Amino acid sequence: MTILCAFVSSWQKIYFLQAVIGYKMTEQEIVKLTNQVFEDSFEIEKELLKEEMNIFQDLGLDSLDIVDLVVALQEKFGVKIRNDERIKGIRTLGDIYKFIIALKAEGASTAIYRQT
Amino acid sequence: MKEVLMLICFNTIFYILFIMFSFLGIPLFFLIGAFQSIFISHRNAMKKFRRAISWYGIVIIKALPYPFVKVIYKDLDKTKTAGPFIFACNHRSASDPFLMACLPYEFVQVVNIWPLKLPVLGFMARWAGYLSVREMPFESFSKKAADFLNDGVSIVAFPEGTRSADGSLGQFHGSIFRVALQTGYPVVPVCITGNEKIPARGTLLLRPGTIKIHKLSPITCDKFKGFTPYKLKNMVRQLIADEIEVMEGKGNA
Repeated sequence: MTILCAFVSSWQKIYFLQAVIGYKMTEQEIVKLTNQVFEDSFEIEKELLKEEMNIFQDLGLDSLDIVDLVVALQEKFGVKIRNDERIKGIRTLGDIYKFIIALKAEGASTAIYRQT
Repeated sequence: MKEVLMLICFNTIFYILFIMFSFLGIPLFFLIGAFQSIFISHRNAMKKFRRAISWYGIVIIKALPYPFVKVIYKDLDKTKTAGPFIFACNHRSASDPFLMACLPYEFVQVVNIWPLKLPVLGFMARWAGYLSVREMPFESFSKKAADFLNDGVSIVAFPEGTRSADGSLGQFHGSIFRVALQTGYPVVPVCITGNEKIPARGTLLLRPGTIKIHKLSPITCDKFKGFTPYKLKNMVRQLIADEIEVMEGKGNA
């Protein structure tokens, strides 16, 4: 297990734990991973990644960057968000956190529903 | 009072000359171009046509408003890198597209939808191959831009997308920088200051002033290899912002 963990990234560990022992991501983990997407994909400094930051006006993302962001978030969280209508309402980094938290909650409830 | 009279006089003379020159000059350029295209290749005809548009721009921006408006163009490139280039400029006024005539290159501009709907000027721009970025998907835009660059034609873009309301530098759109990353052609930052009121946003009133245009050194592909489009656009934005500060006397020369 230790050897396996050494070769996989932190989010892959989270998926693994999620699948094996039904582990759920905390809100703090979602925030951390979302910020990591911004750092890795856009090289935005950590200090700028605050909840109230407008992703267009403050962080300077454009419509094409949003496509890249959606792909990166899908990969990071293992969710499908491309055709989700709620993306259109996203303005701030906080909106993204809330959106992913809601998605993960929906995913968990769907999984419980399937199990029962 | 004296200033108001001077403004009325300047604007009246300018717009009369502008209308006269446009009504006479554009059909003349068009006829000459159409006549030449019978004897020369399409590529050469387009080259001459784009050169004619630049001459039209030079007359509009340099000759007609003289001596009320002066244009000072400085090429700060010491590298003498060969083109074609992708020019990225800040955007403060409706006069910016005309000012691009100062660049001594064959180019097409990336424009919004409305300039292409202007009578005569819009038709000329479409015919010259100007790219309406909002009317086409990115893939088509990218392919057309790459075709122009491979053909030796530079691209001029205003990545802010719209004129700045307060003179501050807006956030950049990344389309043109994605083209740079895909094609590897150098990006050249161009900075324009002094034309915020020639004319100001939302008005046609021209005020006297001195317009400065600084063309910076090209950023060649070896300098942005491996960059994300986001990183490249922000790097160019920062270079433009720094130079504007110097031009406006707020930064270090």
